[in-house]
Amino acid sequence: KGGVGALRLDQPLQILGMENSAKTEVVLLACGSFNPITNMHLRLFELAKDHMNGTGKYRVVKGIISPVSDAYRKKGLIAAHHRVIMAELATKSSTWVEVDTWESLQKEWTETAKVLRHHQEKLEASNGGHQQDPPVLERPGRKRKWTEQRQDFTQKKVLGPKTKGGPKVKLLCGADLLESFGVPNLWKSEDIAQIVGHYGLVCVTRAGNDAQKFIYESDVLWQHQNNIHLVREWVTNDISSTKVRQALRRGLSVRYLVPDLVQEYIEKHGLYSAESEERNAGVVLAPLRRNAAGADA
Amino acid sequence: MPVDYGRGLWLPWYGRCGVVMFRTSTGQLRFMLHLGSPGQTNYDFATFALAFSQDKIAVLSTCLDPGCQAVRFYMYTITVFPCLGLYQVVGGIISPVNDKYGKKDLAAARHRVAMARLALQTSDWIRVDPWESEQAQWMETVKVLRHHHSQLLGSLPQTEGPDHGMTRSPGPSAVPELKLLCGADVLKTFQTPDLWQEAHIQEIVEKFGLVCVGRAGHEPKGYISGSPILQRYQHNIHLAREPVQNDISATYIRQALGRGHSVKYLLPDAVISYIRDHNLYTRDAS
Repeated sequence: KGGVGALRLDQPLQILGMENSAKTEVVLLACGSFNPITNMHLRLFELAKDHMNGTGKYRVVKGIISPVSDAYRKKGLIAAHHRVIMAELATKSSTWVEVDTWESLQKEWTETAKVLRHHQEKLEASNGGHQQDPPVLERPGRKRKWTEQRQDFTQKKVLGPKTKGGPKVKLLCGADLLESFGVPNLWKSEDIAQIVGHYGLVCVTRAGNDAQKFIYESDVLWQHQNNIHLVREWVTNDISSTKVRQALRRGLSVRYLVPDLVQEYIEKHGLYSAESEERNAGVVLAPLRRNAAGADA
Repeated sequence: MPVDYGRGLWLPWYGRCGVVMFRTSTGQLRFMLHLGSPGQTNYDFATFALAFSQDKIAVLSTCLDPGCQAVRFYMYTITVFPCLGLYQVVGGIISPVNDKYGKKDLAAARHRVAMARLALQTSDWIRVDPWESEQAQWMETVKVLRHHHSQLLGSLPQTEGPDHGMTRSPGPSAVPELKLLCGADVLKTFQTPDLWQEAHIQEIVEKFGLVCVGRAGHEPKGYISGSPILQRYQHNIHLAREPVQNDISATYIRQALGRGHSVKYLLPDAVISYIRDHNLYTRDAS
């Protein structure tokens, strides 16, 4: 029998080097446009938390929504401050999910791996004595060399049995993000390796078999499959931001697709029209531009 | 290829009609009118092109005379509501079923009514009506429809004013039409032997009308074409397009609750609190 939260025997067994009684604290980080945030985004957090807690090995302590900066240049992307406010309204009633504006405030678009690193460092800084070696500080704009990143991994100290090294940030996403790893120039291969190798992925999907197949067909994903947690979503919940924007353009109701406060905010500010959908039309997406250009940013 | 079914339209002299939209092989949009009200055995069909100008439709018709002997051309300008001149929904009623229905895992009616009320706190047009749940026995859906219809009739002002300039009867009366709203799964249950009385199905689609919202794994158009009664009154069956597939079922919710899983964002927070406060849908509850 399946179901969210049940320990699935077809998952690869994790061999724990540390004491089993100590659980790893997890922070789920979701990056995305949130244009607008929908009930589906919020459901991802709930499903992921139930799943990770249900394994008995993790304890989800926080959820972070990190809306992308305007510099992402995605078509139809409205101003970041609106998207941030809507996310804050949406999480008002949540006891554990919050919104972080760091990424949205950056002048340049920031790779997801960097956002993960930022939040991991922030957690470790506020964690006091449970720190690992702080990672090498980098000059802004400089892409970290692969050798330096490898050094970080080998420098990790083995900590005592009771502590699991403080909370670990994991990237929360849907299957679409997982499969976007295959889009040419969208992701740097070293970033993918870092995301699944160092941090970990919690991927909520309806089509579990497709996701597993995708993992199987990728060497780097297959290598780190223990760090990719697939969460099954048994009911179809197709509320995509694209469809919400479409409904709004057509004057149709989006009640119960987005939280009430978000729907009221959208209505009050007249967000999402045919005009707003044309923003960034014809503009190349920031990661595609950056990765196609190659070299350091 | 039919694009859409059963849009309501009111034309001078003909009164209430149904409109079927379809696309020709060259891709042009055409409309076919079912003239006359449901219950009439003769339908006149007219194919015509519509020109749109804001909320007015110009109807150019080849023939709108019943049993017409000659081809005539008529031009009408009809003011329509946004959405192609149809209905304007003025209210919604949720009617929780009676406890005596005997369905498995059915929580007490007072709880279900209370939860529906909480869920509708923020709605300005949908309300809960506990009448059905308060009856001594379970009652057929058609009886609930009849009850609410008579309630609507009874709540009208006694004097009837003129009908907005459209004087010829059968014009739109002041009584709102009451339609049964359901998912495609309910439409399918019409086929289940002994679940519905045939006369009731007929009354529902003939006298009232059905608004059916799609559901994954169901083909409402197939159910209609597979049933003579439904086919006959298909103009009175409105298939609401659901652009977002949303499979959340109460069954899934109860299951999740039984396992201690979160149902946040699937139900309104107020309902989740109520369920917790009253210990509903726990694993031992059924």
